[in-house]
Amino acid sequence: MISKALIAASTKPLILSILLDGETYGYRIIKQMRFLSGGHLEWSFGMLYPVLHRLEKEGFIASSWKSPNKERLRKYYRLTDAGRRELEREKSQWLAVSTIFSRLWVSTEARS
Amino acid sequence: MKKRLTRAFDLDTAIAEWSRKLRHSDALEDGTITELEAHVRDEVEDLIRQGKNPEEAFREVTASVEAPDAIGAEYSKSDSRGLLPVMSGRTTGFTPALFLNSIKVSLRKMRRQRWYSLINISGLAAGMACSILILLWVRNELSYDRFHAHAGDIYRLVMEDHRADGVSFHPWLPFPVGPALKNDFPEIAAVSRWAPEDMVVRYKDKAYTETEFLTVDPAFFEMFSFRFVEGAATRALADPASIVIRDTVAPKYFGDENPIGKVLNLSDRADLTVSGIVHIPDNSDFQFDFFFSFRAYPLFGVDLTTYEADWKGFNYQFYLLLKEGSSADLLERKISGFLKPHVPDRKRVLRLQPLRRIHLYKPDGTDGAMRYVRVFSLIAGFVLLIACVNFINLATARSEGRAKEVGLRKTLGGTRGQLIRQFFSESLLHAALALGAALLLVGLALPFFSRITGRRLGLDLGHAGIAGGIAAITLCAGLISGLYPALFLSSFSPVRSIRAAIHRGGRGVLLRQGLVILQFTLSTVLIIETLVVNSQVAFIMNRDLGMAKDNLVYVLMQKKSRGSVDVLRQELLKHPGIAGVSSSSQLPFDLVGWIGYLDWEGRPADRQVYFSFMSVDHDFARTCGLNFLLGRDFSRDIPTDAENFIINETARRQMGIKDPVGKQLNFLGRKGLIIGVVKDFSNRHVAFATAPLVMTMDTRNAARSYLLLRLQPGNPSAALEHFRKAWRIINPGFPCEYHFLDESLNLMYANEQRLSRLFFSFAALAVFISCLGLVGLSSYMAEEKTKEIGIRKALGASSGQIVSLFSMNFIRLVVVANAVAWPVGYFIMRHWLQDYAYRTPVEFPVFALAGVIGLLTALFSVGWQTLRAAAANPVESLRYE
Repeated sequence: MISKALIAASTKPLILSILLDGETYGYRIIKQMRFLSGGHLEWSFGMLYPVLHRLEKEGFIASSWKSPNKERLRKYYRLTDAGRRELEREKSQWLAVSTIFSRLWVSTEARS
Repeated sequence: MKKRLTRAFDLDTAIAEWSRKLRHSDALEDGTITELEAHVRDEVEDLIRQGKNPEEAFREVTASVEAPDAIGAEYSKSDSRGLLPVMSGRTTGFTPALFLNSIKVSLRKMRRQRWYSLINISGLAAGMACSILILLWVRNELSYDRFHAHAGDIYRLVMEDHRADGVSFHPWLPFPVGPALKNDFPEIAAVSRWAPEDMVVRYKDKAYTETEFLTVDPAFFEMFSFRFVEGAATRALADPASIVIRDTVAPKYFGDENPIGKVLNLSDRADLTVSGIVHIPDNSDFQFDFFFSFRAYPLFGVDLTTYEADWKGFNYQFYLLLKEGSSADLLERKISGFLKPHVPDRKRVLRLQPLRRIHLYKPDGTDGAMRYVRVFSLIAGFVLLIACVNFINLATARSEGRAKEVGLRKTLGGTRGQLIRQFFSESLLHAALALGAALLLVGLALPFFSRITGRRLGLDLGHAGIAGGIAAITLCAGLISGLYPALFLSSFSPVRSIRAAIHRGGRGVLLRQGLVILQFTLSTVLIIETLVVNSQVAFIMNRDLGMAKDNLVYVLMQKKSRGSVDVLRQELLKHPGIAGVSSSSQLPFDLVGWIGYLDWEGRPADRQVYFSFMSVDHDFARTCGLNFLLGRDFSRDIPTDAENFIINETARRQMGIKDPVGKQLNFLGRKGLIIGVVKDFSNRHVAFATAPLVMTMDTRNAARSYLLLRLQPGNPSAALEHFRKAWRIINPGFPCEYHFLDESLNLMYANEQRLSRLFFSFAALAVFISCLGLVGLSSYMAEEKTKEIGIRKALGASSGQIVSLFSMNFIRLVVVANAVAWPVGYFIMRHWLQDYAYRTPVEFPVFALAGVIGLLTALFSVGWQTLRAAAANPVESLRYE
């Protein structure tokens, strides 16, 4: 399982990345995360929705009420331009950290 | 097996219960709860699909959720930057729950203020009903002959005729023009000629005089897409001896028989076989009952080749079908001088008029019926605006009451946007409710409206254009009504609005007064127009025609019945009820055609007069009651009168001769003397000036198109019975059909009468709606000033004084409205009257009357309310002070 601190740090870039594929609603985001992480990362909705709410207030995502195919009314979220820029920023940071780890771990394995 | 003792689990109830708990949390807005609920439902459905039962699924989903408080806390955290985190009032986009709330509040408001809502809704309903009716009419007018598959490629030939007295446009052209054009210009795919006829149609023992005959070329039904109920359009007129009849007349002749293949006899001259039954829609200008081909002429004993070489008789209309993709402009330029080599006497330019413009525009391209489309669209807008003004006035007048609400909402975090939405939803709700009533009104008024417009109109809500138009009218009404109140009321500052009352007056009052002036200006303009149109109609109807139009009966004669005039006269004059019998080539009140200019003794070289011409007999002037200014009537005792002429007053004036009697006139190669001048009688539609007229005596059958009977005043039935009997004996087989001349004259002015009734209806409606608004405003004022009235009464004022005091305010506005409306109405009506050569004077009494009508209705609606307030016992109103 992934630690709470790491979840908290990664939620925002993960949500923004998922929305990169197009607009979607909360439950679908949770399902997709469950699938992508192979069950390692389980978001509760009590956590997700307030984050979505915050991201929207910060202007990174925008929402609208829709019911395509006459299904139930759902709130769909999509990435804004500001959100795209924010994701770029986050991405470069995560990539930097990831590069450091991989370099570190490759060399330690080689030594042992 | 363990038996379940607990109550059956119901998923919906469980979810409702769960979301109800969420509602306790202050941090969660309605929208958020809706979102969370959707999530729970989605996930529960997924689990059920995986095989869980609903209860397990629900418990699993909600177990993973923190307590409602915790969710709320999370949200608060993310909102924590605001000072008042919970009541930020910011909503995310469109929130369904909030919208429902707006409607709920609006409905509550309406229930509490039934009286005002009633005024608003009935005013809006009347205004919208009027707009919807006009919409239906306008749509119908705009749809004429647009249903043809080739409508965009069909053109009518029009001639721009340069006469010495000016340029005129008309569609009448010589017989050979069409085929010649088709021969020369490959872009013309098909041509059909067109000439109206009248015939007696006989089938077995049934015979009727039919006036809606059309002679066409066989291509006609291929160019125009009329639907054939029986037979085929392409072959319908292939055989010269065939005839196509309209579906509506078929039963008159054939009853239940199948008409196809049956033979109709036309005026005892030719037999044609029915080859098709065609349906002509109401929105077509081709309202004819019988169609046959010019190639049938030989069957009538008419030699077609003489027609085909005749470039002098301008009696036919031509419709051209252009090949797809060819340019009408280009063709018009190429054909413009086509007539010159054939009829070189003066400049005649051929032009093309698109089929789609024929109904609405005159041949010269200027507005015809289009003018009324514009005028009535404008009126629809006016009446709707008047109704919206009521809403605006009442909403702003009552703004004090709303100010507190606005203040409270703002203090609690409501934004201006939310308030604007609230007010708009109120006005839209009013408009929506009014729509229901309006549709009901339209349904009730439609038969009446169809009758006065002379059009069969239907309210087809399934039609996209009509439904869209109605939706647009509703939206317009809602938005116009709501716009000002929304912006004005939402601008109140909370501090000012909660402190006592907002200062009265200023912007609001001025605006209300302005709008009342606007309402009454529009209403008064409509009243003035109604009065002027009415007085023009009365003027037309009561005008001295220069002849005795009452008790004059005419019969349309057929070629074979014309020979019987002399025998009929002898027989008819035996009856004491018949004072005179005559015949003429045209109906004296509706002359058509002209004959170019004549030469007369002493004509200055530069003077040309275009005369109308009518053949009459010895008894014409006497039978019609014409008065001679100079000279004498034709006489049976003077044989040379067969060569002589009688002219009318206008002809004398245009010829410029003081005493033309005895002067020689050269008429189509016939030289004769002018023996008399008759006082002008109305010989054309009142739109046109009386035409200069030459009457010759022509007792040949060709000139006896109409038989005229002068009946003695009193009951005409005995005389008519005698006429019918004589007719049956002398003209067996020809239907005996007669018309009263004064009735036909009335028909001639049906348009004007229609117009006057329409104006009357709209003006009455506008005045009614304006007064509704005044009733609302004055009752509000009376309510607001109850105490003032009480004090005034306590100090000795009488009810009358109070009523006049309060009425004065409104009367002033109506007076101002009149000052604006009079010149506007005057200019509009002067413009309209330009269409008539003879017109009623537009004088002060008309305006005064319009003013008085406006004032009285205003006084009545204001007085009614203030009187009620003024009559109240002052003790009642002052008790609480």
